[in-house]
Amino acid sequence: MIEIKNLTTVIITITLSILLAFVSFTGGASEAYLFPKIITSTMIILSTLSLLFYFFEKNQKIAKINMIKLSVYLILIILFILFGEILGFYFSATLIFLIICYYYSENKATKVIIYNLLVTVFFMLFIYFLFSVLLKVQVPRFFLF
Amino acid sequence: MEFLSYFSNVFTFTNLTILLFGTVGGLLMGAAPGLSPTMAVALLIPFTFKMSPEQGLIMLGAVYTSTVAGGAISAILLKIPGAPANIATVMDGYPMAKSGKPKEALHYCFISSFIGGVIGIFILIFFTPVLAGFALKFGPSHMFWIAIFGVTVIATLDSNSIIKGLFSGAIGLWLATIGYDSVLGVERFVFNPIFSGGINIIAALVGLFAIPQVLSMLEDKQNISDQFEMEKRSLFQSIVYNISRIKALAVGSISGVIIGLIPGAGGQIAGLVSYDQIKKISKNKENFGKGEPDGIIAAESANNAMVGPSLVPLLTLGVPGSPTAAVLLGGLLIHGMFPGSNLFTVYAETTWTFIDSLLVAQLMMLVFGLYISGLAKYVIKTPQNYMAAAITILAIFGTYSVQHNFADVIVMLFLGVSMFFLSKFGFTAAPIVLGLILGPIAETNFTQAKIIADTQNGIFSYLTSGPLNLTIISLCIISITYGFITEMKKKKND
Repeated sequence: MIEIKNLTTVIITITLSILLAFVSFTGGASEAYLFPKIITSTMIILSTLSLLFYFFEKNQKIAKINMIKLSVYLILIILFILFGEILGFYFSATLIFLIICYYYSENKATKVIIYNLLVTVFFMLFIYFLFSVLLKVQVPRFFLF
Repeated sequence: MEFLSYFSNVFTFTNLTILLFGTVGGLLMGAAPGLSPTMAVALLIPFTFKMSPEQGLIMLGAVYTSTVAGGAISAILLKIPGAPANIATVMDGYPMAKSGKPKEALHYCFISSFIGGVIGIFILIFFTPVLAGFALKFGPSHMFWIAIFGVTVIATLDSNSIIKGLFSGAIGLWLATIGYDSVLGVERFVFNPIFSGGINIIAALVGLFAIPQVLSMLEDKQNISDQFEMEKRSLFQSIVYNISRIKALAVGSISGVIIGLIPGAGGQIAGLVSYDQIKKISKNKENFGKGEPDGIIAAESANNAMVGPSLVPLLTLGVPGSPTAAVLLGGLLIHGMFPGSNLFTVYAETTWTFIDSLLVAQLMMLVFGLYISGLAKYVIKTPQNYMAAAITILAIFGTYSVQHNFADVIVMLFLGVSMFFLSKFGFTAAPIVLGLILGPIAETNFTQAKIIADTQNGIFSYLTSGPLNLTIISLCIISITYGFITEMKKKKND
């Protein structure tokens, strides 16, 4: 579980605005960079204000992120970005659907697994019909699908 | 009465089929907790890319209208608002269902949604062309300020912290500068070839609204409780009673129309304000919160009356009246239609057909809404892991289908996951999206203004002179000040 305090938010805001301002101000002398420079200057003013407000803030709110629970989904996303095009959309999407259904299900009995498999097959058939047949979208494929 | 001459366009087989699918699909999506109208419209935009502008807009309009009403189903039956617009409906809808009258509560919800919705669309029909004609007087400096005003308003109203809201808007404006500058043709911030074409609006819309929702679903899974059994209730009886509650209908519809016209407000505010107003003027104050029909009637007529007026500033100035309208702006732009007077001259047929279709969608929403509640319980009961998996796959395929570009899918997933973490830091998606959509409008007009200003007294003087510029600048200041005051009051109450 990751805990996010107000100060973390302020630090993130300042870092992001400085980073974007650096990129905008060192991008080039062209007038095309004028608008990004104005925006990032505004971002620096806003992040400075957020730092000032932080010191006057009485109620410290803490937000939590359950990284353990989300890790499987995030790993699936990273793997899809890396291998989705090579493995093909239908193949990788079927795996993603199946893994999400299985991992995030509270009941892992054999009956539920079979049910998950059936739902996955029917959903992927629906996706195939919608995109490949109806909308004629040519998605990257792996061997047969 | 120009809108009447395009009415027949709605009644073609294809358009009616699209309307039917949009309405029924929207009602079911709205009923599913976690699927907000904004997310539903964002997920559907890739599909409309393959349609004609007219068909695409009809689909998006029908989904927008019906998801707002559909959200009341889970609000009444589960005490979980299907969308933020239905928060006020929970207060009396759920107690009424609990007291053995779920069907009656649903009847009031759809009948008042219909009445409010129709009133709102008539406001859209009569106000829009007038304001669009006025928008013709706008030059580059005015359009620049209008774009900034749009971002400011969404940033102040759709965020818990005004600074974070404005910062989110600025992130969106900066992201919009990635790729080629539209006036000077200079390539900027292309750190990787996948960014050479800039950030695709559809990829951003789908990513920013769908993926954070999926991650939230997986993080805190909600347990869906058992449903209520529907009682026997005559629809005629409900219609007669509903119409007799003129005060609640008037309060709801008027609040909805006014709030819809204010750029950036939205259904959530409309529902809550009207609920608060009707409670204040009602003779049965003590019944509110215990299943008072007026509570449902006012809240539901307000959140649907807001839909039509929220499109008035959108279609005329490009300033959306609600976060969902902001997404709808993306739907307009991908078909090459820019807000303003052109919509009522060059694209008059498409625009009026779209507006007319909203009226038909209201009728379909009433008819199907009343009968779909039974079917909706299956959607409501869909386990969150199935819903999360399905949204992820639809988001991936939908984003890819627009340009057949895997880079768009990567951008969509990256923005989506980043948005989830940003939301934990208190940032919201709507200002980022609006910054991204209005960014090119703001920048192009700023550059044009600078070119003109260089021959005069300089850019600062050009942007700040003239009554229209000063009026829009004042509106920006008012909206930021209002946001600060509201935030301070909220913090004081906490």
